[in-house]
Amino acid sequence: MAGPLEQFEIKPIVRILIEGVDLSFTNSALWMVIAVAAVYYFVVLGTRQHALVPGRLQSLVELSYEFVAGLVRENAGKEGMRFFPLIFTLFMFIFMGNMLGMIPGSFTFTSHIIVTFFMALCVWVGVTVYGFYLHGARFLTFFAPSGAPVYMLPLLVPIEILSYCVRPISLSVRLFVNMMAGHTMMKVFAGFIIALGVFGVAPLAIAVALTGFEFAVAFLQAYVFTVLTCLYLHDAIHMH
Amino acid sequence: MPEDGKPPGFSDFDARLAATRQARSDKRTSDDAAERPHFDWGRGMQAGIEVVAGVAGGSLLGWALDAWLGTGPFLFIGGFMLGAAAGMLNAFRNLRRWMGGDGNGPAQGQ
Repeated sequence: MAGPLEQFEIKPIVRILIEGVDLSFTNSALWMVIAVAAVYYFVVLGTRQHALVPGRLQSLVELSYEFVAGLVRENAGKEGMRFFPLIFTLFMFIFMGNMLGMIPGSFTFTSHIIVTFFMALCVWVGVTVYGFYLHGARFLTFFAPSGAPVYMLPLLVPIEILSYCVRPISLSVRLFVNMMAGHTMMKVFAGFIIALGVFGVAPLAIAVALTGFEFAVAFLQAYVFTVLTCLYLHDAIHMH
Repeated sequence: MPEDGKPPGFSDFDARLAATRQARSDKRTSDDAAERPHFDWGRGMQAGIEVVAGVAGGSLLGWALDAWLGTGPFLFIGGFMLGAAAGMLNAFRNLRRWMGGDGNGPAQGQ
């Protein structure tokens, strides 16, 4: 029987070696392509009819649009809507990745820290660059808490800078840990079902409950990643 | 074609539109507040991740600087402490935000 961690194993599908650098097309990459294609066709097919009274698919597309637009407006403010395409793409990609990961036998690419960390790093670098672009050197005052006594600044400024710099770590670790822990737990309990014979009913019940819970986590973690992206954007735009 | 109940004129159209919009936006904000998902377990988990990320990030940075500058364990120790403080700060701000404050100072209306 496959161990609980084997589902996270990266297997090359097409081996590509360029100058000793391994650029193989892996199962992780395959599921990313599937996620992108799924989101693309979901949105394109959903909006093809331009119906005034939307059908089922169009309703879903409009629902996702409204949902993300509401998030951006509420958490980043009106000025954040400039970044709506990026944030919508990010949300749909993570959400689709999490949901595709719920298909038995599929691969959850959001359960790999390198994937989530790279997304978080892009968000963090982009937001920081945008903050400097908007405010210039004044953006540095973001790291000096207002109202703090001057003699405390040598201690407070490094703490603030560090707390800003660990944002991509916490952002990516959160998504990765939730997806990996959930999937491992499901697999562990599923492994007990056959091994326990008649008493396998108990782990089966837990596995069923965990599956429902995992769907909630899949949505919630995409939501949290998006909300935090919006909040970081808010910090860069409004500087408080 | 009801002669009595003919469609209302356009004279007060702006006023009625504004009233409807106002009512809709009121409804929307109250809905949002009620619908916002909140998982207490998730909140605790997030705070934990913030602290761990702070400590790990600070320590790693200090350790890397130590290795680069050859300053013994001092930057590692300092980075660990500053990282712990930064992690606590992030966790604190996160929890404040979820509880309805703005992340600076006590939450209002709680």
